[in-house]
Amino acid sequence: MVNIKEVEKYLGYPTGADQKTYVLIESLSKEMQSSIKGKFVYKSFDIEKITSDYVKLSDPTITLKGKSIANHLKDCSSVFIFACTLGAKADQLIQLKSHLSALSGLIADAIASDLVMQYCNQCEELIRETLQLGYSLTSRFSPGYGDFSLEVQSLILAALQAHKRIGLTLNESFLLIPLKSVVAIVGVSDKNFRLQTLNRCGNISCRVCEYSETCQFKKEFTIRK
Amino acid sequence: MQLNNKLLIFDGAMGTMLQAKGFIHVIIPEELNIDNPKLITEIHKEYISHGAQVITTNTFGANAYKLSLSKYSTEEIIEAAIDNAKAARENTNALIALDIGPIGKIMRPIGDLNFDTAYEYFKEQVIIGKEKNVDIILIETMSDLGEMRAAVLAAKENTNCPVFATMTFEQEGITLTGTDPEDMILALEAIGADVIGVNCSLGPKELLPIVRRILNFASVPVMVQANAGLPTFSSNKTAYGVKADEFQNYYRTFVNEGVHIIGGCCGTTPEFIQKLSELKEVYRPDVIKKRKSYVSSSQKRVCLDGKVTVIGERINPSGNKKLKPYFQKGDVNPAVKLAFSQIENGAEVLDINTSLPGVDENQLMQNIIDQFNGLIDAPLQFDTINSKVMQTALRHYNGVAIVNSVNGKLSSMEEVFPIAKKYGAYVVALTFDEDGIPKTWEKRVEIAKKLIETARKYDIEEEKLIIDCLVLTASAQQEAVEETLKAIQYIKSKYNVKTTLGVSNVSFGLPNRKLLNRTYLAMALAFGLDIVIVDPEDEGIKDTLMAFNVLYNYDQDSVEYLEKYSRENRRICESNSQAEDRGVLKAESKESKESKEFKEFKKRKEQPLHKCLLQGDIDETRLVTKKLLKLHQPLRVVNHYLIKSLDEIGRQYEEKIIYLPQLIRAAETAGIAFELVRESLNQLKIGLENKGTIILATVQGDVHDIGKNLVKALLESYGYIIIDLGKDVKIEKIIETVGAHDVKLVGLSALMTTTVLNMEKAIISLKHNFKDVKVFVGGAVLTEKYAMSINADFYGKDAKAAVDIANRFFRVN
Repeated sequence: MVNIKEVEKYLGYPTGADQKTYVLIESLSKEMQSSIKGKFVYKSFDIEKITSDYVKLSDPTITLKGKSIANHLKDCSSVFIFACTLGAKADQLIQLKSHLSALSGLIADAIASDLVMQYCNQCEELIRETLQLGYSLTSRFSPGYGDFSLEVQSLILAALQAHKRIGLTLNESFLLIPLKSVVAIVGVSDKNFRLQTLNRCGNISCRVCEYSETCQFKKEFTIRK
Repeated sequence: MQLNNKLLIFDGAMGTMLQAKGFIHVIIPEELNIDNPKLITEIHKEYISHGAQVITTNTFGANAYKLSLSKYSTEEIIEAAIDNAKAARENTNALIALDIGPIGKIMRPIGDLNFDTAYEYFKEQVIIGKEKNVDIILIETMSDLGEMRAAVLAAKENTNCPVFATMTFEQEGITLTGTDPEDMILALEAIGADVIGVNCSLGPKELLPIVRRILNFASVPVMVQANAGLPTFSSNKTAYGVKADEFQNYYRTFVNEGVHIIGGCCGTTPEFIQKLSELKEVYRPDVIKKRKSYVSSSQKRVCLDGKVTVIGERINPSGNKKLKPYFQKGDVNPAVKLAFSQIENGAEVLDINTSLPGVDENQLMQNIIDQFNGLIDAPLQFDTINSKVMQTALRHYNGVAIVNSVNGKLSSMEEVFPIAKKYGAYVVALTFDEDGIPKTWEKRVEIAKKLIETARKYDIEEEKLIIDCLVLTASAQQEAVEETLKAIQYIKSKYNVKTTLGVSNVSFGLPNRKLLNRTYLAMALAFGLDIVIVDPEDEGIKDTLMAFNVLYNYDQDSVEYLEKYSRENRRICESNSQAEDRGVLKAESKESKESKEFKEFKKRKEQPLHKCLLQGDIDETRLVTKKLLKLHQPLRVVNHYLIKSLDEIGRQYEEKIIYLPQLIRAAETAGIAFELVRESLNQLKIGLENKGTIILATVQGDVHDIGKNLVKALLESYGYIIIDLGKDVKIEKIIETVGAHDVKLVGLSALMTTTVLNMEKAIISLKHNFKDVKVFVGGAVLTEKYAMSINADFYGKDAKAAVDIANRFFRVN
């Protein structure tokens, strides 16, 4: 299930990894795949109100604050919010590997990053299957992207019962714990988003964006590039 | 509360009933206790009228952490919930259970919740429950054993209510954090849970194998609250497939096999409880079983019966010089590596000793327990005579541990036994007292008897004692060596205790200590020794144990023995043992083998050092370094070869000829070369010059530490001494460490925008407290500009940049 090409990208290789690293990626992938089971939950919300700088969801009420998320969802009538985690086992494995060798820790971390993406894709596919004909999904948008702050995650996790159902929580700084986890919002619209560009916030370029210093998406994108 | 061998019926789900009554989109259902008390009371009433003998308050998430999102306080909500339950039971005999669910945070080291904080959350809840006179405290849907222990202890220490503790298991038979039913039972019975069981996550069919395991192992009554089948989640609804009749059929089996307390979890309704109450006639009380002796962690148990148990002794700073400087700086990271290698070499339990002059033993012990939690699965033995440290260790440890040790002095027994009893720990009991170590075996047996009898007064059964008959050295008191063995033999024949020895004392002051150690070990085993405390990597120990297990019929059909010494290995073993027979030390033969290799190596053209490092070729690196050390002064090897090689590798990294994993591999391989340099410097009786000490920390609130670990690996490869404070590090800790070790350069990492704020606070505090301390920062969201705006002195875009910063800094200073 691990996509080794992606892992190589996370590790910074523009083409492929050197032989020794490749062998290590392969063996760690096997080990992690066999002991990690990702989990996810999702829930749909209606959009009650949308302005240029916030989106109000209903049942239950959650307000998503920020120009970037408002722009991202501007053509949508409802959203799905999903939460996905590899669980404590992944964090434990990464920590243990890091203790034994920084290199193994680095590679285990990259593998887990790829695995969590794969589970996100699975979850998104399930959501897509529930859509009515003529509707499509926007790309994923996560707290931390643009000016969409991390704080909203506490309400989102409570609404999804994420702790009880998949063991996902936050720490005092609103970081998802276990670490290898994703919370994301996908909008539902009757527009076709297939040709969407990589800048999910709708900006043409990070260079013109006032949030580019701190944008989590920009960070993820840079790593994957 | 006496169960009197009767079946006790709990109620079913609260959430399912709320949804059925139209309350679907409630984020905090506990608020309904105040906002709609009639609704909650009605639900309780329905359960009572359908046969529930115990109703559970609507307080699953009513803890201060989860309620931080609420308009009401914990007290308001729990009081209202209990009032609702009381209103519902009115004139019936129904009992009220205060429901306590998980806090909603994850315990250390994965999350940031520590035992003491968890305990305080639970304590607040149970005290309100006690003041409102609830009958039972039900702690349920727990998946972390540590959190469960905190809750059980909070309930036990602050109320007199019976404590019912149920955990949630995955289909594979373990909780989300990796605890299986048996390890749960060991840990919870040890601290006095009155009822243990399982609830939620699975339906009764899937739970059956788990319930059977619990019934086979538990010695307290067992409780089951299953879901109405496996849940299926559609976008907004959760559905469960099992109907009430089918539910009853599964429960008939549970009850038949000995489950004592039954009820329902998600998806169950009063109809289900009605069906369960019909099972009252089915119940047959179970037979009280006798379980073997086990020590356990949250993920593993080790049986102490019917075999020899090996306890690894190496996590001890006085016996392990390499560990000492780390422990002195409060850095417990090397202990993890040491734990891992001992386990790989056959240790089943690990002895942990943190006593060092001038070190906070208590804090260090707690750090190790936190750090090991979930990572190192071997159960632990806490090696301390300080009762405060003992108490801390047992309180925070998620399992059944051993404390090492108590002795025959009255004061020692009075101090240690109450602690051991409270936490259900095993105790190593040394056979000396106020008059010292007796010479004769008879006197030692007398002390053992005193220990056993006194323990009994504290309600500690014999099985929990591990008697150490103490080894004296053959060089000083040769006639006493045999006394120890006789004492073991007598004690084993008379009492149901375990015995242990720290064998290696015997050889002190004599040559070829390993020979004496393994021979004495073999003798002691034959006299009935159960547990050995050794360095499992010590030559001969493992072999002696393997052989003993065959000859004593422990290793049945010699399975393990054959696996280790199969035909292809035999020749090697024989030639080694012949060499030993001739009195040649194995270490020497290894040396001669190496110099032979070295001679061969000298003949061929060597790889340049930087290539060996890049390849991560350990053998080649060792050979090349050795050759260099024969040709040059050690310091020249460092500066002209090692550092230059690393610089060359760094250059290749910057020019994108190689990539991050290769850079880190080279840095880690350079550690091997450094080790050899240190050895040869030691021989010359000079220390390696300290290039500089640097503190590294991932700031408070942030738990991403991969980047920091890479920086550490690279800086260490350049010979810097790193004090690694870990992740989620409080500002005070950084300040304290800088002060204590007079450090001038601090590296901080943070990955998220929210935690960069804490980085800024740490920098302000560092600058305020120390005029001459410089700070470099790194982390994904940071940029040069951002770093400067929060007053950092340097910005390291990657691990290589951190090395450049350190090189510049220490060259100038």
